[in-house]
Amino acid sequence: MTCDLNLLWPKSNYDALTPSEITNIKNLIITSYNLGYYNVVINFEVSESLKLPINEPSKLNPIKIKEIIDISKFPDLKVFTRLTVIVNDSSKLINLNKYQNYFDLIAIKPQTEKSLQNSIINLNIDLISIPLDTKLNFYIKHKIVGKALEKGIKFEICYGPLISSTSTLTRKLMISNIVQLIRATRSNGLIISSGSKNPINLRSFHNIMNFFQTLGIKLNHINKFDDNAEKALINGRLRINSYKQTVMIDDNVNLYDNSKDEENNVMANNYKKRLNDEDIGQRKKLHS
Amino acid sequence: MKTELEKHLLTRSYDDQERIEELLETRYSLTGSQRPTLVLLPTGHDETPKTKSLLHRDDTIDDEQFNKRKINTRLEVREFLKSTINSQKKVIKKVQEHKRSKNPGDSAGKPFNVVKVLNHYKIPLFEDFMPMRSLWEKYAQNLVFPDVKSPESKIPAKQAMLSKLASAEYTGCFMRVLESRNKNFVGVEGIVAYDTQYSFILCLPRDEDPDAPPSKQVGGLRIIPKRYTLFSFDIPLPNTTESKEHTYVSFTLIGSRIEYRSVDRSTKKFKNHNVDDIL
Repeated sequence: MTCDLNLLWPKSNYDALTPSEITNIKNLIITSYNLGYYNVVINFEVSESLKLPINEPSKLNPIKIKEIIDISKFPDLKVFTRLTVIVNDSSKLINLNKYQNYFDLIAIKPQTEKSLQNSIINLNIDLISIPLDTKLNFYIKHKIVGKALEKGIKFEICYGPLISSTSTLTRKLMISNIVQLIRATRSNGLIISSGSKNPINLRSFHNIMNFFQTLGIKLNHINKFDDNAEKALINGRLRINSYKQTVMIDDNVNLYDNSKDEENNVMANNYKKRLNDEDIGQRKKLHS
Repeated sequence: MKTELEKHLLTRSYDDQERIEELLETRYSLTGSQRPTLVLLPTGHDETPKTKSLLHRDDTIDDEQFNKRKINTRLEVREFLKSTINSQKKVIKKVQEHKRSKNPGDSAGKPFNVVKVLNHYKIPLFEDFMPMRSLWEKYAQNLVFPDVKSPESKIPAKQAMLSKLASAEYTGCFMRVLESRNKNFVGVEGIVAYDTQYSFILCLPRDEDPDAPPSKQVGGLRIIPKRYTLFSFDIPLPNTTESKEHTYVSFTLIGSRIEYRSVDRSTKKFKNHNVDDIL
């Protein structure tokens, strides 16, 4: 069960999508489904200055999965939503906790070393996506990264720019940054995701693994990439579906299942179950 | 001539040859004044007591009572569990023996009366806990769905229900092990008899089918560690209307996160952690 945690949402604000953009995102999901990614996450990336409509909870999440794609036609496909905030100054991000219940995953994209450090300590997030396709103006320290890994925060590597970019400079930067990140994390807690807007830039898991093996990650660490992605999803879903990871609603072994979600993730009326006759018979046997 | 040496030695003290002979004879016989054995008798010992430290205080009657009681309850529970689980093993062996003694294919043989043996060993039966289970169900309904009257009505918001359940009591709840690192526990279900810090003690139902595995026929107590285990349970919706529909909501307890005694859990502030240790 492989996961792609980053399919970019075409807009970075709350404007409505044009029909062509909707078909594009639909194609993106179907392409990754065909490549073997059964858990895909649509990533809504915003800058920290964008005002989120906190007063209207129903409008907080612009990604309405039901309007984009009919999941029932694709067996095993699960579509999640993710919010990524580009951070320069993490003191502006106090409100982040308020919209945690409306997105399955919460990620940040730190631009400075200070914002990286502060958000690891203060914020309740699942993922950190360091902008690897630009020249980093700070050195990734193992001490800070280790603190994040201890908390269960995973680091994301987007392979999209490697394929889509036309300039050799971006690729050069990208590879050197990835090597930096691998060094800082000691190959632990890494996640590989696409991070592309165009279906043509998607690649299958093994295709990408091949590239990362050439960068010097051992095969057993590569096999953990998928586990890490799953853990990030579990972490995010448990924030919505459980009380501080103690009691969870529903009895599903798949801890990140979202098939019973409602509009705003708060109510739980879909979790009601009706006993069928067989179950009632079994229960009565245990009652007698 | 074994006594030649002794004779020579005795001539130093005695002149009389007959006296020497007599002495040696009595020396090596069981009767007579000289015995070949040495009897040790207790000697008197030092009677003065040790000097006590300045901080020493003699136990009062209350202290003694308290210590006695504390030790007794704890030990008794442990002893009870140990002995019950041991005797359960004995019963399982008996069922196995009975199975083996029966001819294969001959189903007409007398079935093994498990309940009789269980009562003999004083192993708690699943039925004993049924009243506790119905009590717990009422308690949970009152706690989680205070305003729900019929299965059709809306149930409270997720976090409101879950936060109450996190500090709830689970003795009497019918649980099943949904997933665990120890695959032997997966699928085990029973009523919680006791909620310890690191484990749930479940009372399992018996399987009446004589062909079932012996351990399932016996049931009884089972200790399930909380760590790396998911427990799930159902709470039926309260039904005051006439319709006979059964609707319920299921929940899952994440064992690794509730490793507290139920007393401590009721006031505990929980926190999110790394999810690596959940399963």
